[in-house]
Amino acid sequence: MTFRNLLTLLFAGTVSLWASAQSGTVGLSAADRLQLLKTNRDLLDDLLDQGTRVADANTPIDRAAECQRTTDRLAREYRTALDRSDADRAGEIGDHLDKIVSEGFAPNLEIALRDSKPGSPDYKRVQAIHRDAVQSLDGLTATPLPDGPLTKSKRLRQAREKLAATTAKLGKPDDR
Amino acid sequence: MKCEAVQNRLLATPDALHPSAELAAHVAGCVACLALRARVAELDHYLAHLPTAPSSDARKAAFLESVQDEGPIIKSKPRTLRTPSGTFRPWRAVRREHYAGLAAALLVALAGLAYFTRNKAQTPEIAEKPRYELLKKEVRHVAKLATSDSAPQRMTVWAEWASDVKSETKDLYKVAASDELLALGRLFERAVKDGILKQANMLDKHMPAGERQALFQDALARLTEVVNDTTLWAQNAPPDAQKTLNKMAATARAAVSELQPLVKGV
Repeated sequence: MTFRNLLTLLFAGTVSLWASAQSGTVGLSAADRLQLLKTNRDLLDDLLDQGTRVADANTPIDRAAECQRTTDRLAREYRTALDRSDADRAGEIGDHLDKIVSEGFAPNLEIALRDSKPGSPDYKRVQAIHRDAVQSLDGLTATPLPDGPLTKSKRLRQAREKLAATTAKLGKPDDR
Repeated sequence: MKCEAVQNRLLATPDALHPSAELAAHVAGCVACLALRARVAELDHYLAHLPTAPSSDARKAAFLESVQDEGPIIKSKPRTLRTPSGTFRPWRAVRREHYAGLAAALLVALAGLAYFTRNKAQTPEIAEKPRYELLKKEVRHVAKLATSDSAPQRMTVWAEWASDVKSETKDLYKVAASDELLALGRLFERAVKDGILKQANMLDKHMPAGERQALFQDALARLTEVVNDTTLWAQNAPPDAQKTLNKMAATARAAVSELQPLVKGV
């Protein structure tokens, strides 16, 4: 066997190891994807609705409010997954919640808080949005999970920890 | 130099009675090596005087023929594991041809280790279910729209959104039931009408021509691709799928027609 064959073998081995390290979504069959489409059809529709609402919102307060509505929709999906003891689904939705909160809601909340004068109607509205969001997210992450498949899932545990950290970064709303 | 090394080299020397100066210097002052040299010389002497069978051309030819017919048993020169200085180097026993085998064995061992380690770490967990890539992309688009301040940025996001739906359609149109495919068709239509076209109509009419053209070029290219691809797929698609694919093509075609006059702005 020549040196070139040795290199080829090493390359093939490396590729195999890399492939085995990939997540389960790579190389899904059409049937699996079809099942995923069926499961997510309503949520996809609702997210597209939310996308149009977010795009129509012209101010950071309005965008924060629409993001909050999006997180409410995802939170509903999350709770449904928990009720079914579907840890993987809850973990997946938990990650999506974190994405919307950290990359959509938080930046708009920050601008809205900065730009609204204390005592003004806008300020009160931002505070209300902030309070609702934190309460809702705390409710998702602070509630202990029942013993069973939910507590055993590393994916769900990580998603909850991440979401809790993102929620903590939102800070405490001003209750005055 | 140690006696062991000297004796090894002495054995390898063709004429033990006349070794190299270096060996001779050691042998002259070492009783053990001197004895060995004497023994080697004695053996050499006996070998030289071993009786040999009378030879002939016929015997020689027969012998050569037998060697050539059967092939030599030892085809390559054996390698010594010792250097001329007598140091033992076991890796010299590994031939270059064996490296690939060793590498393969190493890879198999590593893969096995990774497999068993991973299984051990995940013992309490059930195999994870796959995540839906289109859902992930939609969530990302919503987050992006939330931080997009302008119509051009939003139009770009919607163009990507429509493309993602098209890609999903590509992978599923052959197997999806008409309901599922219709759902994808609806998503595409809304991403185009409520997304791309709506934002295109909100663009500043005085937007610099270069920026406007680049923006529209991207959206038009994506939509034209949808027209071409879905028309092509429809030719070999199941009848139910054909209807949705043709509708997607029509939606994309209509959007291209609506966008083209807007490319120039005022």
